[in-house]
Amino acid sequence: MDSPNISENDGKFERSSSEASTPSNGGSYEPFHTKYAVKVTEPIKDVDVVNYTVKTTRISDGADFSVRRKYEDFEYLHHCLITQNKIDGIIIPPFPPKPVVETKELENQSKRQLGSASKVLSGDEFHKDCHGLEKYLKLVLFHPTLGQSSCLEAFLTQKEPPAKSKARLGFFNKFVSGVLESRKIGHTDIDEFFQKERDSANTSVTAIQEISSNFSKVLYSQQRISNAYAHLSTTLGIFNAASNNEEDDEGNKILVKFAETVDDLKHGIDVDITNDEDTLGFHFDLYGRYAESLKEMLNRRTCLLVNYEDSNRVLDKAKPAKKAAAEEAKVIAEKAFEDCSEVARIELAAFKHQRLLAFQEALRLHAEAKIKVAHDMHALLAKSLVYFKQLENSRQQHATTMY
Amino acid sequence: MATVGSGGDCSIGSGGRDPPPPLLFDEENEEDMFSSSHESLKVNQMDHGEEKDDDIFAEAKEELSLDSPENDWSQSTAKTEGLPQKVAVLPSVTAASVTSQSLPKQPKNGVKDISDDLDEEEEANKYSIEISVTDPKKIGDGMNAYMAYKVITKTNIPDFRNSEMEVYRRFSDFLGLHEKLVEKHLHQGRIIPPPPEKSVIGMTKIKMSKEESSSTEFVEQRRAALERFLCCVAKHPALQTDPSFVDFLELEGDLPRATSTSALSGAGVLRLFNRVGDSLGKMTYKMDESDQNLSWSCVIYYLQCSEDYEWFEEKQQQVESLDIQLKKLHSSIETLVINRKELAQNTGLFANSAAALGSVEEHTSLSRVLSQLAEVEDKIDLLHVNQADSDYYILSEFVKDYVGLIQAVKDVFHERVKLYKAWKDDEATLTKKREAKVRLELTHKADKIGSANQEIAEWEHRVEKSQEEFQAISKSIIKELKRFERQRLKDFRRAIISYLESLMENQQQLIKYWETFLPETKAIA
Repeated sequence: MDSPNISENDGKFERSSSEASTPSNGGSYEPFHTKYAVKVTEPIKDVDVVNYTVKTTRISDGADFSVRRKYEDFEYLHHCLITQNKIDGIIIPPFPPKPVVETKELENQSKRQLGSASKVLSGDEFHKDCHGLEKYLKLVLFHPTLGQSSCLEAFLTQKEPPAKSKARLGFFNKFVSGVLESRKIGHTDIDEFFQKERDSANTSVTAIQEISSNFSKVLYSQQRISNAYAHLSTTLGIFNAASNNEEDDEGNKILVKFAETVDDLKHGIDVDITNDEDTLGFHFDLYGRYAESLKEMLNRRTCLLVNYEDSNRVLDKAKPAKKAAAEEAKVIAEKAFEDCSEVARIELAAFKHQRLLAFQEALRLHAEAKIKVAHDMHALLAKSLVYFKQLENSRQQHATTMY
Repeated sequence: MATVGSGGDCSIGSGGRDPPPPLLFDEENEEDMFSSSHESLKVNQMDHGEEKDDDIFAEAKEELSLDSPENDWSQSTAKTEGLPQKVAVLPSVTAASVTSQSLPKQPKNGVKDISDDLDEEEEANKYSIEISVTDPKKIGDGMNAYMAYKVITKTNIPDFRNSEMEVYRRFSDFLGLHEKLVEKHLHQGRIIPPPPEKSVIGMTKIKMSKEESSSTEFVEQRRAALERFLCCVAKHPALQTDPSFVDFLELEGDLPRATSTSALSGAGVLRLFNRVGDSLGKMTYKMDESDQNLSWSCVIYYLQCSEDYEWFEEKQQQVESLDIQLKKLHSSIETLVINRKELAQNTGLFANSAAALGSVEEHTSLSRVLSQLAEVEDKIDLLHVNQADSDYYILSEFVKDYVGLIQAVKDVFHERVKLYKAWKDDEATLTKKREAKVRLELTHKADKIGSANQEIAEWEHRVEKSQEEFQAISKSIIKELKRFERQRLKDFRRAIISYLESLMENQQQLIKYWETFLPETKAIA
């Protein structure tokens, strides 16, 4: 497979030539160009609602748009995308979970993450929510089918958020996952390829969700160390106020100086945490949910398979009067299933490729960030070390030069 | 396919919280995020450059003399197994560069010259002594079992018979040594380093465990603590040559069992009561007279009239503050140690899941890289464990030792007040004797006057002696405290340097690991 062209400005996503040979709705495949470049920024909390600014640039003519949207608007967008498109074989980009906004909830989350004995609470994580929503929009925009939706265009360009219909948003999740009767999901596949996919999808989901959870634990531990450094720095600072005697101050002064170094250490860890969250943390979380989405797609297909097989059986057993209707039903079920399978194949290949590249990118950025932070920390520590060593040596130097 | 990571311009509009640090890979905001810290560091350094010259000169001579014992401490800790610290060896200063010319210093405390100070320090510094405690061995079984430690000494101090010796000692021997030192030196006004704490839980575990598990964490911590204790004693010029100390280090075979050292001994409990009684006495000084010759209220009054009273008052307050602050510091560091250990554990868990993910991954290159990630994270797990050890030994135990030392300082202050009281009691008794004699003279009981005179002479002698003792202890404490402050400065500086070096080594290791890993990620697709 050729590797897709990835540009900095989220420009193009070209599908490989092998995929181009299997068109879904007739006609040859053209490379799909996303229409817009987006950025989600400036989360501003207003009582208990957070408003985001979505900045869009239309690629064809460079037109700029800037709109304010709430989480609920994004949610509605997702709902529209699903309902207005034929999504059976599509691996739907996972929609980010609702951000924690209320203070009480934030507190609880903090306690869960950092332990109930922790005296320091995590701060607001709105920048992470921005990142998540932006990523969602980008994934949707890149998708050949979803990216062309009119509701997406309206979402990005219209000043007022699209009016929500009376649809009960809470239920669209169920819609997405389908009203799947559990007995259908386990149904053996007629296609070996798909059976394998379904099996591996199950193991993948568990594995990636586990690594995501363990990675989060590492981040929480780091956060606790950061807090411990902050506390240590404060404790070192109190030595300053102790002595009024100039001579005895020496011992205290170096502790205060050390407090500055500890502050640097804390700063270093904080940067490290942010980088971790934005590289591997984000990746694991997103692809954990993506793995679920993939599983759901395969489940939908399995259901269609079951329906198709059922309709076949009905046709076989149908009495002459019902024959025509049964025939029709079978054709519909067959088409739905076959279409879904076709789309699913393309989607699976594309998704795996996308996932591979994303993983590579995340790992690379992660390693690069780690190296940079370690270099910076080392440099800062070296500076501190020089200072303290100078203190030590100068006393001896002065001593020896006296004689 | 979208690029990863461009959420860098999100700013937080709520609650006045600072915006998050700029993301490393955000090309628009590419900057050295540590540059602001660099700036402030530079400024601070410049400031310190100006101020530090003042007291260096004055302190220099004292600083010098403590070098060689310090070298020894550094070396002996470097011998300790399992410690990751790299201790830089200070440039050694030979005795030749220290002349006997004393610089009379005029400090605020009224002590006029320190020539005695220096002579003793010089003496101590002609010699070196290196002590290490190693090779913990479990001796015996069941409830009578105990740990024996090998104590190895290398020295050229003439008080020792040989220049190298090796003996086996058990924990109670160390406690016994400390007791003897206190007996002999506390009333002379010396700060005696405290021994490691007893631990009923720790020892019970040792006694109960079947195997030769001499490598448990507890044993290692105790071994290190015992070593630090001996080195601290060795650093003290007066204690260095104490016969009990010498015996402890060189006497072959078992030492006589120190009886009063068991966890809940009768003598120990009695001492506890005495101490409580003393403090109660001090606290209730505002109450009325007691049956003693001199009540505590009078003691405090007279003490205020003594020389150096202000100096001692101030010092005591300083010591009290230092005590509280060091305890807080210790607690803060303990938290750091715990969290670091937890980070190590979680890193290990993460490494496992990376390996697991690698094994279910279909794509071969990605699978390989994931197992490599697991390897890196495993190594980092060990790094964190290592760092936790540094946190523990270089900082936590170090500060704890100082908390113990502060207690020893308080003990010596307390001892001085006791001697003062003894002196004043003697004076009061002398006065009574004199009054008794006058009464005898008035009632013309000539026969008894002879013995009265004898008693008066005796008590005059006693008063003289107890006054000398008090003055000696005061003088000694002043000297000890100065030594303590100097030592504190040096020790803390050294500890900070050690700690920074350990942190830096860790960072270098991290760089190595990730730099090895990075090219692998580029080879995936």
